[in-house]
Amino acid sequence: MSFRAFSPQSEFEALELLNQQLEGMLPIAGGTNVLVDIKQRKITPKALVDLSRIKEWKKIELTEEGLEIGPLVTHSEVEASPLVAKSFTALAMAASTVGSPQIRNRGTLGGNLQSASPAADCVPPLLVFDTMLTLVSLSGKREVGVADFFLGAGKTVLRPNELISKISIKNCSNKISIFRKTGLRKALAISLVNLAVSLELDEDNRCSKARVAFGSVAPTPIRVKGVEAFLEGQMIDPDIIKALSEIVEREISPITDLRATATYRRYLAKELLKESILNVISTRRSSYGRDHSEFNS
Amino acid sequence: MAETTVSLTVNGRPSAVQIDESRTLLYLIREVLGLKGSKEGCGEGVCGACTVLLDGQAVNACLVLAVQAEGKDLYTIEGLGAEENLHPLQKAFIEVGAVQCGYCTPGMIISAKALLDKNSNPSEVEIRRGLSGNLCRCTGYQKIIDAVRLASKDDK
Ligand SMILES: Cc1cc2nc3c(=O)[nH]c(=O)nc-3n(C[C@H](O)[C@H](O)[C@H](O)COP(=O)(O)OP(=O)(O)OC[C@H]3O[C@@H](n4cnc5c(N)ncnc54)[C@H](O)[C@@H]3O)c2cc1C
Ligand code: FES
Ligand code: FES
Repeated sequence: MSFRAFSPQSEFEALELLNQQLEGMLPIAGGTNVLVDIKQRKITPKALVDLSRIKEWKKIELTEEGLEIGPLVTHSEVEASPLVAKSFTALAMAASTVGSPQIRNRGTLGGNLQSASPAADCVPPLLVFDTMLTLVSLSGKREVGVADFFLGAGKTVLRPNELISKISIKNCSNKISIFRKTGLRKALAISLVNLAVSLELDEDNRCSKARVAFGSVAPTPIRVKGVEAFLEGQMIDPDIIKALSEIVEREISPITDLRATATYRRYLAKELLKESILNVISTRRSSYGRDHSEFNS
Repeated sequence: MAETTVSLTVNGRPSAVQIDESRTLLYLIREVLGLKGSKEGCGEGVCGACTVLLDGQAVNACLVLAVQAEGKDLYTIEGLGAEENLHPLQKAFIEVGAVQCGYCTPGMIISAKALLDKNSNPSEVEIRRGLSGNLCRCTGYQKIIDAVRLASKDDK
């Protein structure tokens, strides 16, 4: 393995490098996917463009509409951000379950998105928050919804001369959200199934808007719109769980691979959704603040 | 192959090294600087034997490009304490018997240091979480956790 490594100091310099369209040029952020793929000879880039010096891509900022997160923000930074924890709990929870402390200190949200793994943990939360991505190239910017970003496992709409420059999440005050994942062990585990749920509830627990997204049950993380449609207008109470399970059963088509069978994934998907709904109910009963340390003990 | 210069601080001392651009930080540490405390186990981010502090944060040196360490503050197990002047974590690992073959130990101690630097009195759950990126095939972990707990008490 031998390649060049360039260290552009700004977004513009990075885009100029990519625009030369040199064959085999690949961006690298935290490197936790790229370097593993190189070592396993899954990819053989001729040059890496190290994005890690682009300072303006490392911020989490509060805007009038919500949050703007730079693509270089790491999982550790997402996990530690009070801004994320307050309004986008599911995202903080997901980031806190990624890999290990070492992986969370390096791995970035931009890298999590562009890797386009069906199991990427931060993607279901970004899906349920109707997140917009800004893609930038020397010819300008375009905005793409996260749901439209993925084309398949490992494939996205990002062009070779483009980079993800911003992740924008809209705010909403009465939203409650949660993330769940099951892996083969607690740390360093790729999700067998993961799930994010975001509900807007009125005072009597009636749901006015629902977003539910699963990972690892399809080639890309997906929203399950049948489940969302069922939840909207419903009273969120334990009675709805049986009906929900039946809809999940119809809406997902997981596969068997070396980590789990399709049958087990179906079972997990139903259980994780059930747990999430029960958790939302008990959170509403107690308070809005919650502790998610149990997810990575 | 293309060589480049990487300037960084190594255990408090400013250094500049010549290195092939496609090398990792772990290669820089072991083969260029000759600091053999940090180990290579898996080379893929799973075992934590290569854990070092980069700007105070625990990272897997096997998954960082050497050029990405430019301008950074690198801290390895060699920076911790010498035989005559052991760090509380090193003393605790010896006292409790948390070392068997020793291959995981430098990485374990660095992860433990990263944890204690942020949280001087961690619970057992927090210690387990802090060390969750480090594998040990010998000890069964309990003694390592006991050692970190002992060191956190000694620190005060
Ligand atoms: C041991 C281990 C455990 C892991 N555990 C988990 C886990 O539990 N959950 C999980 O979701 N993931 C996990 N991962 C995968 C990985 O760590 C994450 O997906 C991480 O977020 C990737 O980010 P990165 O910055 O390291 O990406 P990199 O490896 O730097 O890049 C990944 C891809 O994204 C592209 N890219 C990066 N940034 C940009 C940008 N701004 N614009 C355009 N393209 C970009 C790169 O070109 C590359 O194609 C694990 C990896 C390892 C090695
Ligand atoms: S050698 Fe780096 S994590 Fe195993
Ligand atoms: S002491 Fe042998 S691997 Fe930990």
